[in-house]
Amino acid sequence: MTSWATAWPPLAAAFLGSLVEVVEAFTIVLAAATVRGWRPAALGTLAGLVTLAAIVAALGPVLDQVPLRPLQLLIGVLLLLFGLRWLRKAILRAAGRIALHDEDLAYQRETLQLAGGTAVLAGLAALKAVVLEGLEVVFIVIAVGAGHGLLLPASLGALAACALVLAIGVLLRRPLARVPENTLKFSVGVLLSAFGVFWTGEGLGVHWPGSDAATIAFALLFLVLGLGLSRLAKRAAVTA
Amino acid sequence: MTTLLARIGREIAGLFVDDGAFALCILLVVCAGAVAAYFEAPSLYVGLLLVIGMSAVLCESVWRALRR
Repeated sequence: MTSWATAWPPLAAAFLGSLVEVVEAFTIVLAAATVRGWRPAALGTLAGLVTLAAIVAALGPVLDQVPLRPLQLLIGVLLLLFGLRWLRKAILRAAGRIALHDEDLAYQRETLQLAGGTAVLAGLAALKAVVLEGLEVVFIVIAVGAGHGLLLPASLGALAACALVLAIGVLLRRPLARVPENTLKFSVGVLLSAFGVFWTGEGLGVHWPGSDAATIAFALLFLVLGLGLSRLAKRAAVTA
Repeated sequence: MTTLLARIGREIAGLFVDDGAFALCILLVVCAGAVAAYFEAPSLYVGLLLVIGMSAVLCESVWRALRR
C-alpha cells in the first residue's frame, strides 16, 4: 500500500511538470481551432492522444523487462539532463538573460502560420503539439514514478493537470497566458533535479542516508541554490 | 513523414540537451560517480560526488551564460 507521504512528491512533480506542457499544447490546439474550426483541431488532438496511448502501451512492457538498477540509472541521468536544464533556463529567464515564454505571443504566431493553410494542416499542428508535449508528460510520469513503483500517483498528477487546463481552457477559450510558467518550470526543475540525483545514486548503488527522505534534502538544496543563483544573475544583469 | 519524424526526434533530443557543454558536464559527473562506485568507494562519497558535482555544474553553467 502506497502511503500519502511516499506518493505526493511524484504526484506533485508530475502535476506541475504536466501543467506547463499541457498549457503549451492547449495554446496550439486553440490556435488551430480558431483558424480552421474545432473539427480539425479536435481530430488532430484525438489522433495525438491515440498515438501517445500506443507509445505508452508499447513502452510499458519494455520497462518491465529492464532490470531495476540500470533502469534507475537511466531514469536518473535523463532526469538530471531534463531537470537541471529547466532549472538553469528558469534562473536565466528570471534574470532576463533569456526571454520569458509568452503564451499570447505563441498563440499569435501559431494563428498567423495556420491562417494561410488548410484544415488538414491545422489538424496536423494540433496532432504534433499533443504528441510532442504529451511525450514530455509521459517522460515526466515515467521518470518520477517508474523507479519506485509510483506510476499511479504520477499518472494521476498528470491527468489532474490535463483536466485542469482543459476545464479552464474550455471556459476561457483563450491562451492561458497568466499561468506563471517560469515559476512552475523553476519548481519542477528543482524537484526533477532532486529525483535525478537520488535515482542516479540508487542506480550506482548509493545507500542514501534517510532513504527516500533524502530527496527532500536534495530538493531543498537545489531550491536554495536556484534562488541564490537567480538573485546573483539578476544583480549581474543590473550591473551589466 | 521522414521530415516530421526527424523533427520529432530533434525535439525529443532537445528535451534533454540544449546547451551541449552543460549536458556533457552532467554526464561527466555521472561517469565520475560510476568510476568511483566501480572501484568500491564508500557509498556516501559517491553520493556526495553526485550532489556536489551537479550543484557545481549548475553554478558553472549559469555563470558562463551570464558572462556571454
